Amino acid sequence: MRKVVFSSIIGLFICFIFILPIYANLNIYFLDVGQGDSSLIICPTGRVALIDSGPSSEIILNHLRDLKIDRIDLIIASHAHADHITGMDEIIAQYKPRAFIDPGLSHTTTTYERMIDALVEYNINYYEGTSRQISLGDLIFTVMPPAEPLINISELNNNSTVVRLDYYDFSVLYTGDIEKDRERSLLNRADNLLDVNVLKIPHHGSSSSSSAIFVKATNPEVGIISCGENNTYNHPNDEVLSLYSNLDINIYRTDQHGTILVQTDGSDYTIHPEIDATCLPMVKNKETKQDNSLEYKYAASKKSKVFHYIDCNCVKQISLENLILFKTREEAIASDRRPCKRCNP
Amino acid sequence: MKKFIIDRFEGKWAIIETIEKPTVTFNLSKDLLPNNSKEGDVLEITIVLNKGETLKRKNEIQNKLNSLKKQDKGNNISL
Repeated sequence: MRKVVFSSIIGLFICFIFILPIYANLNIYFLDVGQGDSSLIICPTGRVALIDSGPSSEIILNHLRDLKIDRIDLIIASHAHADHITGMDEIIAQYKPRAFIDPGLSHTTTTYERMIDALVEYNINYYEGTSRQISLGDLIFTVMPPAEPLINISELNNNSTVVRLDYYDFSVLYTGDIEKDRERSLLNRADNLLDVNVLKIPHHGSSSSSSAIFVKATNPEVGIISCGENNTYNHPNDEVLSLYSNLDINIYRTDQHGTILVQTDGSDYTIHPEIDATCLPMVKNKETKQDNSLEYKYAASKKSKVFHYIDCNCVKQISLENLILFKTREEAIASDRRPCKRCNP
Repeated sequence: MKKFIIDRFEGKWAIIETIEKPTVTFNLSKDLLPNNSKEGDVLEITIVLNKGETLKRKNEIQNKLNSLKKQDKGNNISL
């Protein structure tokens, strides 16, 4: 009897080891951090990587808390500008990553200095963003070759650490804030590594970047733009958006879609935007006003940090078991939720 | 010498408007303004590059980064 139980446990263990990685999903979050960049990658094995931390320590730490992140194995800082590395010192102190990578170019800002001080204080393994591979279980990060010599125009942006992520047949290219000079360098030095499923569009969709030849070489089905709502930098640029549209590349934007989750089993992938940008507030009609639920003006999903007017189309997509109702806006805000960017309650 | 106008105060910030076109506004910490500043006041702002301090910070931070770089053996990483 004991032998049978033991064999079953061994059998289950073998199934777990060999089957789980094939069927389990890799979750890639392009976090809504406002005007900046941050992406969190959660492997099926539980390992976690963070690429950039955005412009606010409060926002990124809230995201990490909301997603119940209790470990970060790898941090990549694309470059030293504050819209990509703010809060890194606190993240390093809290999570003590096993490896940290950046382009190896210093900056004089206190935000950058605090990040470097935290790496020294917590004795974190530091690696320069030179050509190399980092494996996180079945997930492979390939650091693209830096420009040689380094580009001295828009130095920090152009020399961003550019990383390709591969999970079986699925791939993403993280481009930091590279501009057209670096795009050209990548075409010369790594054109065989550029073709991907998902492109993190360079430099928040700025006109400084996304040369047609580079975008065609990356050949993505989906492009992600990380930028803040109503930002003053004209990100993303209209002509850049037209280019992607003309190439039939589907665009998702954190300023419109909130946090964007890309889920993949290594073969197929699905995109789950926090906000359905096609959803518009419904016109209020008499029937709605006569509804018994009128005293509840606001609604949210238990699983979301966003609340809506009760007649927003987004609310229709919330299952009854997850639906929460609020009578006042204050009540909704007090539940630690923020207003939907579409219906703007 | 560039001239600007204080549009208003919001908390610890003064919102400053340019006189020259195109008109843009930006935030400046109230601490940087003279004590008796009020809405509508015209400001003259001169900004000076401090090359000595820049070089000092650059060297200090570069030294810290260099000490981290010494750890890196250029190898692939398996986590």
